[in-house]
Amino acid sequence: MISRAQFYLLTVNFMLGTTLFVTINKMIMVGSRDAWMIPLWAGAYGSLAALLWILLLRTSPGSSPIQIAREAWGRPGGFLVAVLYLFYFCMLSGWVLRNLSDFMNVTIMPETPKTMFHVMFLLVACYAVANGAETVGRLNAIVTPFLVFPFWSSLMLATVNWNWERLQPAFQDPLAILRFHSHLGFPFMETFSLMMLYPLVHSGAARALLLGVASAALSISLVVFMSIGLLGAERAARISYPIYTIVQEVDLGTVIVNVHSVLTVILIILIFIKLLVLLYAASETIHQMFRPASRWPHLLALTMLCSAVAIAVYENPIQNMDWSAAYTFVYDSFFTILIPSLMLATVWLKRVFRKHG
Amino acid sequence: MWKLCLVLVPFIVLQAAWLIRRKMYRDTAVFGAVSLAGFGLWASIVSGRPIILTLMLKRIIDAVKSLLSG
Repeated sequence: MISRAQFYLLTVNFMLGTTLFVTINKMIMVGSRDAWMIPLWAGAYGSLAALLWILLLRTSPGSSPIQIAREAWGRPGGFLVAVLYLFYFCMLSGWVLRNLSDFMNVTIMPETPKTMFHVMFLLVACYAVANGAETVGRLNAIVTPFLVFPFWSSLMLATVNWNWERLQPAFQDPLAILRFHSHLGFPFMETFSLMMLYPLVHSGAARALLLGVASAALSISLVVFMSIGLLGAERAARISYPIYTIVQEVDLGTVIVNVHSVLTVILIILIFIKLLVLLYAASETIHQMFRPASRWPHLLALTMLCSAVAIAVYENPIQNMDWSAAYTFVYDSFFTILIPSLMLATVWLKRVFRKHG
Repeated sequence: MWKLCLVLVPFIVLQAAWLIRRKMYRDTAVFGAVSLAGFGLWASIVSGRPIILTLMLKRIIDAVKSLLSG
């Protein structure tokens, strides 16, 4: 079992995971000076989606979506849903790993093969997941203060370059979100992965989840706001990793010169936390569907699968951008809105028929 | 390709044999299914013709869209 606070921190860190350095530039490209409003709109949508999942999980307290699918649609239907979600969680793990290795190759370690990053991260994540949800929750709770304070401190150090004029004229395009619907999918709909941990929360998981979504949306919005104020919309949209560049330009004399390395460590840990949740969700899906007696063999098999998915998920970042722009929303909606809605409808209909018949 | 087989095949076979020896047949089946999916994907990558998953999904989504639009 994990506490409400641990679940809240997991929600926030899961959502910030890769978002902070994968979508910031794209968001600014679409929304320009008003891009900071995009995460707020998307956060509101994410909260609505979270309410749907909460409704679904409240139909059968203590059960995960995989178990609810089996209750609603029987063994064959449940099996199909489990396989679909296993695919979804493995795909997301692959994406997260690939984002990480792309970032590492571009910024610090250009010669290291991507697979090295993938396998190393997966093996450590497997060890944490094998120890159970408590370990995942506690680990995240312990590292969070070491992420929050250095992250915001290093961004604050960069505020010497702040210029309000870069944010003007404001409110020219407050509905830019309508042209950036992929942000609804990534990261807000991906939060569905946390539903595998939801039944393990002591009490008040719903509030923790909603508060986590709201906090993450606010944090992303603030980071986008700072990126525009520090770099300007035009420059920030053209840089692959705006936050990294912001912190790279911090000048603290000759003693502290590599503040951006702190940011790299923070991003690596955030991605690791996201990977932990996804790997836990994949492992738990296998566990709940097939009830294997051992855990490690399946985690090793998942390592093999996810490391391959990370290489095969997309050809290059351009192709990934095309996918994000056109398909992320549809793809995520299928797994996180359509299937849960159908499950909820089936459970409610079954109850109505049972009552009247 | 032979390097991939050298690394992964002994690992899969030994692990599966260990599970069978302990009479964990269900575990063996699950392990086999997941690891063989991974092996297949790795084999496609190593042979230079990787199955790009997002391209595959793109085709599926386009096909569904055209079916639904009539």
